[in-house]
Amino acid sequence: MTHLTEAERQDLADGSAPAERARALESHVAGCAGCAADVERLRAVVARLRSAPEPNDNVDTMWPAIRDRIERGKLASLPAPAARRARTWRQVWIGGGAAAAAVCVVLLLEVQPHEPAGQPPPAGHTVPNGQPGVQPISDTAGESQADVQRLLDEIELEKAMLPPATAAVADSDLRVIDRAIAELKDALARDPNNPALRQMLADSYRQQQDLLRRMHNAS
Amino acid sequence: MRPDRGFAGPVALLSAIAAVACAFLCAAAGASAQREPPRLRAQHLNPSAPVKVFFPTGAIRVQAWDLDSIEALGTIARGERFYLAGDARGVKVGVMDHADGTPVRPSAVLLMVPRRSQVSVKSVSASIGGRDASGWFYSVSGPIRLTGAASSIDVESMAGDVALDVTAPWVRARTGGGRLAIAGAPEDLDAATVRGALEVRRAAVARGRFVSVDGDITFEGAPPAGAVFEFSNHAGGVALVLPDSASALVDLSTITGTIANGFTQVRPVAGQGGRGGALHLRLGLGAARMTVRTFKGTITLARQSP
Repeated sequence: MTHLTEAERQDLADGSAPAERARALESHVAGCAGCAADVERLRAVVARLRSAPEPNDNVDTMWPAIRDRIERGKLASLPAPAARRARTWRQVWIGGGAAAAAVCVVLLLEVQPHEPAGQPPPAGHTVPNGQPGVQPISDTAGESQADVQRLLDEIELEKAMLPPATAAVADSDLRVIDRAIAELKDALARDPNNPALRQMLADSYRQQQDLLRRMHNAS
Repeated sequence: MRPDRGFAGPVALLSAIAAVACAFLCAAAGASAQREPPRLRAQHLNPSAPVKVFFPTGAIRVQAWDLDSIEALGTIARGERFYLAGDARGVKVGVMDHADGTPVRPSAVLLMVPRRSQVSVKSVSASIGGRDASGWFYSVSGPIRLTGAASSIDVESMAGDVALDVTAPWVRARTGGGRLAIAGAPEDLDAATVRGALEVRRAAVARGRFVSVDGDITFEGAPPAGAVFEFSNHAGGVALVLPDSASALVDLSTITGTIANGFTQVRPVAGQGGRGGALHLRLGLGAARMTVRTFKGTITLARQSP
């Protein structure tokens, strides 16, 4: 026996087959349990589809709620800034590792400059979650952490081979970056949703990661 | 720029040596050079073969040519060992480092490589020069200067100055305390320093990201239509020096710094507690987009001298 094609079964199920053609198909279904079961299944699907409420096709009304959920899921608290103190090389590396770990909880956001001309937002303005003007730009925290940790592990072993002058330069650069990170974290503690601060903090972490890579190459 | 504590002495000496070596190499590379430096080695090399170079001190210049071979010209310091090893699929070139850690005497080498070669050049204090060469260039403290056209450029230095005047679809440049100067036409540019100045002057950049922690950033020139630039600095300043004809949407914001608008009469809006500020401007038709953020560095918008 030749069974109905997929298109014929679907046409029969949703009632789109012309009357004469539908009668011929129905006569086949009457004598074919396989096709009858499949047509019945398709009719049930069609019925459920038709009984479902009309989808809201206005993306503009759906998007704010979706964005709210995304942004709520992204927020996380930052660790309190560590006390400043003179550090040894080992502490510098450990500090770098801790800072890199903080990358995991930093949201990389940037402000979309869509404010109307002449009405700029105040500096360091807080943009509430889900409000226009906030755009996620990247989230590679896991990769960054693993990468920095690998570099730290390797450099810990290799740093003894670094020329003293190179080590001094790297130490100086690391201190500059550490200081910037500490200041940014302090500012973020006061204004945790400031996207410009978060972007700059992300840039500082990236600088630290780049510096560790260059250190690795130097050794 | 702050003085470089660790390298100040050695760098001065090595820079002098490098300058002499560079002068020698430039003369060597010139078409009209009458006395060609000695040929150290030459061999066949596939057009896109990788070339790995280690050159600790002195001056190394890499120049691309349209031949399927590699040639090394120059002089090697007495007692040092030059090597060029490998086959047509790839080579390693350079001067051997000393296993006992004693300083390597400076040498000067001009390396001609196939245009499509991807070079990987690493130096300690040697100056690196490149013309039409693509690939990765790294120095600890030596200056790096690249010119010409390349398929991609990745430059890194711990503390050396970096100067790029290249045409390339992709350029990445990093230095710590050195000065980073960029010109030419790097289409997609990612440039960063830690303490060194970052200067972009009259460069045809389509997409640019300029970051520093403590160094001043200066952008001078007209942003092309459709260009997207991001500037981020922590304590250093950011200066945009634009021509009267500039067409861009400019967004400036600083957390605790100041904004000096020397381009229009619009004043920045003060931030929370009167600290910091923000300024949004549309210059001309707003064909490019320039975003500047600093934490405490000063942002300056100025007119370019005609």
